[in-house]
Amino acid sequence: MTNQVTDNQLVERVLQNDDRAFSLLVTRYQHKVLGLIGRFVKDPHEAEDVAQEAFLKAYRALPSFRGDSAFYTWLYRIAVNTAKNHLVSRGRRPPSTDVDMEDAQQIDDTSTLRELESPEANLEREDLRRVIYQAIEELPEELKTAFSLREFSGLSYEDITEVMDCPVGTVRSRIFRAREAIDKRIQELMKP
Amino acid sequence: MKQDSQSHPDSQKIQDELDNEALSALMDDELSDFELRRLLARLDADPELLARWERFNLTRAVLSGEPVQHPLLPSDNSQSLHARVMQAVTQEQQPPLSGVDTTKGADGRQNHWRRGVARMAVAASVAVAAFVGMQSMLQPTDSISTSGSVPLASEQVESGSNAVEIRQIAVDADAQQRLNEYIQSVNIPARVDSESAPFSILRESPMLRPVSDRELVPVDSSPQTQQP
Repeated sequence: MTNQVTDNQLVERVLQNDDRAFSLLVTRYQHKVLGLIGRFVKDPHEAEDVAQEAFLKAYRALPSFRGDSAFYTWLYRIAVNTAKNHLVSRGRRPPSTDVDMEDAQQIDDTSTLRELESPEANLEREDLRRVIYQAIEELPEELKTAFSLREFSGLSYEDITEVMDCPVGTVRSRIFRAREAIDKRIQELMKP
Repeated sequence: MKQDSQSHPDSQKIQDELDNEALSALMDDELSDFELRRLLARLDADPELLARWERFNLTRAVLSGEPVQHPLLPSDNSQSLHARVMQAVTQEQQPPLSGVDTTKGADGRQNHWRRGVARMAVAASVAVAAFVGMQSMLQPTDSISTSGSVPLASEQVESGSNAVEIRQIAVDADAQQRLNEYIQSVNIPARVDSESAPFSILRESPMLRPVSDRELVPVDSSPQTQQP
């Protein structure tokens, strides 16, 4: 699922000195960047430091982002280079097999995650996954369909209007209601 | 901290709905630029929006099997990666202290205070230029007043110095016209009483006379001296 339109909008706002937009970008990609860097830097705390450095480099270099490639591809390239430079500066050798950018865009193998995560974090993740799927199952049919078409099939709102035969405003509202219901369950899980 | 949540609970609820729906649309590349600007402005008033954005993205990350680090930690955790990055970004923008390498972190991105100083410098330059231009416009030019007759812009003059003169005349006439229009369009309050100064006073001013006289000079039909 691409986020290219939103990312470009946010980049544009950052370039107009609105750092709140960068805050949204960091929030969106922090997990992916951390996962990518985890392929190079195994220590979780060290990986976080490198991820922070990568985001800061991206922030500084944002004026040079031309939009030729997707923002996340550009960001991942910075993250990979930062991780490699970090290893070299520590006298360690970067992995001989390079991380392909196509691969970096779709970090979906949980084996990397398990290497990086602590057992507690892994448990938390499994709890979260269970709660989210349960919340989706309990959604009213119309909300579940709209959300699934968007989240799992990657359809645009316009495409979903054709599938569900309803106005785009209704699609937008249904997807939002679905997210809201799921979010409510997540918040309950996060309560101490 | 939400603003006005107690004074207008209903409007606050509607506002929250709008914000959250916009946030959801932003997740899906379906938010207009106008809505985005409004949403970003709302981030200051309602920090919960950022936390919700994080949870929306967290949900997507979990559903697509992406790595998630300690997902159940509170989103406002000061040690989170996001908090650390934004803190570093904020530090990046602060004015450099003396002795600190000012080139670091300034790769193509100027600090706010530098931009402020630059804007002030530009504004001052424009003001000075306008003042100087006004002065030169209102003062008689020796080269013109001593020449006896003033060539019009339509005359063919190849020499460099004459060409400059003609250009000067054209600019002055245009400036004079604009100045006249401006003066006619505004009322200038008198110092002593509350009546506005009559336009005729300004028109009869000796400061304006040279420019006006130039416009009234008859055309000199004698050929211009050609320089080799």
